[in-house]
Amino acid sequence: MVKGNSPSELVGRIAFHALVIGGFAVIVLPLVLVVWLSFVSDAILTVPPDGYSFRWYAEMFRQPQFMDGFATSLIVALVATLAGLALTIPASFVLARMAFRGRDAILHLLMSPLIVPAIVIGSALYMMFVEVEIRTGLPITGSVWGLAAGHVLLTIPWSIRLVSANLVGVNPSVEEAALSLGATPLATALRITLPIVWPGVVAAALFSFVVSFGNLEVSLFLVSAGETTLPIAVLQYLQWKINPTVAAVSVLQIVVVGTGLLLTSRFVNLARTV
Amino acid sequence: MPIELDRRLFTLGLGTSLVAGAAGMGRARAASGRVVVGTWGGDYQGLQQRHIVDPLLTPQGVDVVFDTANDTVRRTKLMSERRLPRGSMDVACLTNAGSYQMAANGVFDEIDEDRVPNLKHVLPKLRTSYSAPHIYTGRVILYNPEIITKAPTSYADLWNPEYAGKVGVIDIQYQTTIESAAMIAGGSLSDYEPGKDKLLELKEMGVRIYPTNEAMAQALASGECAMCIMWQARGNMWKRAGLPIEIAIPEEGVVLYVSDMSVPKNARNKDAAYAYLNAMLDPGPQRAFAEAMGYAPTIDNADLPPELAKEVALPPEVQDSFLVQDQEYLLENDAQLQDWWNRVFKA
Repeated sequence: MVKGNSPSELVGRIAFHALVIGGFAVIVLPLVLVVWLSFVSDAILTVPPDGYSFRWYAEMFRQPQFMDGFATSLIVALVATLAGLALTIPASFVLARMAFRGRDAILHLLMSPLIVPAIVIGSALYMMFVEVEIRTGLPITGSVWGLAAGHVLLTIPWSIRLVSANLVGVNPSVEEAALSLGATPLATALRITLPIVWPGVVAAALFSFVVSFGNLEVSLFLVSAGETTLPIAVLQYLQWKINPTVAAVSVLQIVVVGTGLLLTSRFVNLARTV
Repeated sequence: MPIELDRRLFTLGLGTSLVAGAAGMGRARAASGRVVVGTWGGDYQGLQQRHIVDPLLTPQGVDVVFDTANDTVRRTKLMSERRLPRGSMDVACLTNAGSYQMAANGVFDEIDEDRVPNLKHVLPKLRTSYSAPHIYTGRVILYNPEIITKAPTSYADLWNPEYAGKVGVIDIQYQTTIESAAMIAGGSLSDYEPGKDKLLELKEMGVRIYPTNEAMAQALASGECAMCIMWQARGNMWKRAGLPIEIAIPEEGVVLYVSDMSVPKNARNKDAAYAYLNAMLDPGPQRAFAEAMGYAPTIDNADLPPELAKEVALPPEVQDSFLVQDQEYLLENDAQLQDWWNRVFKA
């Protein structure tokens, strides 16, 4: 931006900076408040607080459901991310590279988990699993595979959008060059195209992980007996108690997701990809 | 090699089986194996683990697994699974409204009293044919004695113009709020309609509406709100957390909240499910829930320490006039009550 010195340009520049700072404040303030709340010593918040302590972090580690839920959420999110990418990378190649009747319809279908409320997806999947079990006798209700399948569904729209958006930007002449030099279509996809769209794949993996890790509604119906995910453990804790332990748990979640973002940004420039 | 089963051998085998079967009849069936308990999580589940599972069921060889979710999810699962020969839950924890709804839909077994001997200690007002009551509490008035200097005696005190602007209601408690208003406006537990106009009067007076129980706790802590309708157990918890509140009992009567446990018809391990129900009605776990959560025991032999009894149980004279919600009325009217609350009262 070229800096002008006329009064109107000065006002414009101040307004622009105010908007940027305001926008960042809206995004960051909830995170700051959660971190602050996790260190407040009062069970029920009063302003100003009586003091600060680590007691809610100690309480968090005393509650086995938070640690178990954290482990389950982590595993389910990793499985859903990998399975989601295994499905959506080939699908994105087809959607971005081929023109065929019904292409748009398929794209919209793959985006539909974003449109349907997650609680509806969860209950509908559960009812479907029950129907399948009645007809086949296969014990799939309340199995860990059902939960993972539900989460894969949640990751699909993000992966499809991010990977296909990157594929559209690839210059076809690079692929044509590889093909004309004797590479097979599979080798071209794996050794030429995939490295070019790699930032998009990493971004898709990151978004998928975050969406799955934080999901409550789908998990509520599909989690198996004896298992719990972190968001369910937080909800259930709040049902009977109010104190900042859940803020401490949220800080743990922020740290996990934040670390993922920082690590990813070392390898991929997310700002240019997303 | 196929086994040749001749007539004599078959008759001998059948006779042996019948004798063995007859000898087994009349004996209590020993519970063992895996039992899945559909329950709320958090403290409610933790206390069940520590006071029901560890001391009473693990030694019997019963392996308890919790299926953690909220009431709504559990009801949806129970309804979806009705046609499955083997359901996912052996015991379902629900509010009394939820268990009534499920029983009306044919989800639950009639409780076999011979398999739950502790049922004979359950307070008669809390008994149903399809559930065993686990904990209960009554609906009361919470007030801040520094602001509301004269202790309330009736729900009508919330309408006292002196306290205008200091009274709060909770959005998710729309049903009980309309019900309480109906109780002082000529309605009843089977007719909430008069409560609607009464609540509109409270709205005119500037009632504060809080989204959740937690938001109400914050408002009571800060003094922004000084009087509300709430469950006594929640009031006990808040008092323990240091909120400046006292509990008052409305003269219109105390309506009960009961948390139930039931056994679905398609439970996989009914012996263990009934053993679970019996164990949760033991005095030990009942005392533990009263101590930790401020709910009253559902049995007459809990033998609470006097101080705890004073805190969690309602006075004996009130216990005679306990009121139980009309679940049939609520099942038919809940949707329109919620609609009125959202579109008229909150508008």
